[in-house]
Amino acid sequence: MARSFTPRAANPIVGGLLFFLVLFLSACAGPGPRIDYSSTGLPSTKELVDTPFFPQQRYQCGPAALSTVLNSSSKSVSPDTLVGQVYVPKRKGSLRTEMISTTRRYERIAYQLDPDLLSVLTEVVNGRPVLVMQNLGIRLIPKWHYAVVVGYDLNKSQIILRSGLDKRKVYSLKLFDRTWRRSGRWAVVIVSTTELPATANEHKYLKSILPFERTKNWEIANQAYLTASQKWSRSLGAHMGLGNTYYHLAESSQAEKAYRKTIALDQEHAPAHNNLAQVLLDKNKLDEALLHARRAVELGGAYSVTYSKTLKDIEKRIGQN
Amino acid sequence: MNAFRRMSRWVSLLAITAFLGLGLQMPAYAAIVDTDATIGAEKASQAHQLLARQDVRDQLVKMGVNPDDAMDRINNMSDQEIAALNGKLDQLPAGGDVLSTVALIFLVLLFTDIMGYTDIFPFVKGKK
Repeated sequence: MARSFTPRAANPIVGGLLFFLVLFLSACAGPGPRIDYSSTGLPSTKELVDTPFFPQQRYQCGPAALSTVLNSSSKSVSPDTLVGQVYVPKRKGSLRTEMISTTRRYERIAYQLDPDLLSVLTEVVNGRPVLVMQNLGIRLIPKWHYAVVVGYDLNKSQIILRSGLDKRKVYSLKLFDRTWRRSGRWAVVIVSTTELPATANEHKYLKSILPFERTKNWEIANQAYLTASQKWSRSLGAHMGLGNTYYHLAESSQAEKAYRKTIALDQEHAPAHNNLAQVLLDKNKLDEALLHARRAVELGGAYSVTYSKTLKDIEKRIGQN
Repeated sequence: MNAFRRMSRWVSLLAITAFLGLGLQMPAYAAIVDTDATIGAEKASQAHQLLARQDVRDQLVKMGVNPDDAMDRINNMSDQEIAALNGKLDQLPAGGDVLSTVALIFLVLLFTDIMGYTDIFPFVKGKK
């Protein structure tokens, strides 16, 4: 095939375009060299055969793929329901940001994986299908597509997806990686609040919980922080999140405990001193509240206005008594 | 017209800020510092947030999303997600996109130009 391209390309643009054209056309070529995953300790084959499948209608691989992973996480929701929630008609497609934000409507966390194949395969081994974005075209002329990785066979260097109208689309690992790489290797797993992705990283996981607080889903955020605090027992963010969500759920004793734990982990964490002071003020434990409020003001930082307010509130209450 | 739009933006920003400022004076709400502070997520000012949310909603509607759906969608987004979408709805990768006809024709004509069957693009010096 390549032999027929013999342009007298005086212009480097032509060379560049040709290069992409060849790259584009060669996407249908056979499997590439094998990638060695033997040292990773992954089983050589795995397939989540029970993963549901929703053949997509035109343009709607977003809702279909999202529905696939949500149903795998035992949330029953049809692609049709998701169309109004993620699909953008004039783009004839769905945006990644909305795929993630929509997941939260179903009390699930969409955790974005590190951009490497090993993470994807590790999640599959642990029973979680992985939502991926591919660019089936080229950078200049993209054809963005969502699919769900449900299995692989390292002996054959193959990866298996639910994709479009194919219930079992088999790619060579090399070709898959090539189409996936062009999306920045975007990959997401869906978890409930009581479980963690196998490859979860503390900071990224906590960040994916935060939006639940913004939408005042305190219960959901609380469960997720609890899960995080059990896995990363020294995590400031997890304990602080626990404290704040308990506070909003009006469970002040639990909140107090979580703030104290945060301070035990980092005595100079001003927000924890401030919030503990607030809880103690609510409970009318004024002496100790004053102590922590003063400590927060002393430590200062970006939220010093709030710390001063807490201190003032406490002093006012003491004045009234 | 554009200047007017810009000015009305500033006016509403001012109005919102004043409104929120008033809100802060009310002693009803406790002075709790959000978890964002510990986890290290950046937070935009509330006033800017409200405007940005409105903007993203309008952009979604312009892109053909039902107005009620658009409202639900922005209400479910974090500040960071709003910022990621704002003004970029027409550029960000949208999974489902099909190779456009224009792009396909371009590729075909480029190919035929290179092969010397056509002479459409001046920058291609095809087979003579």
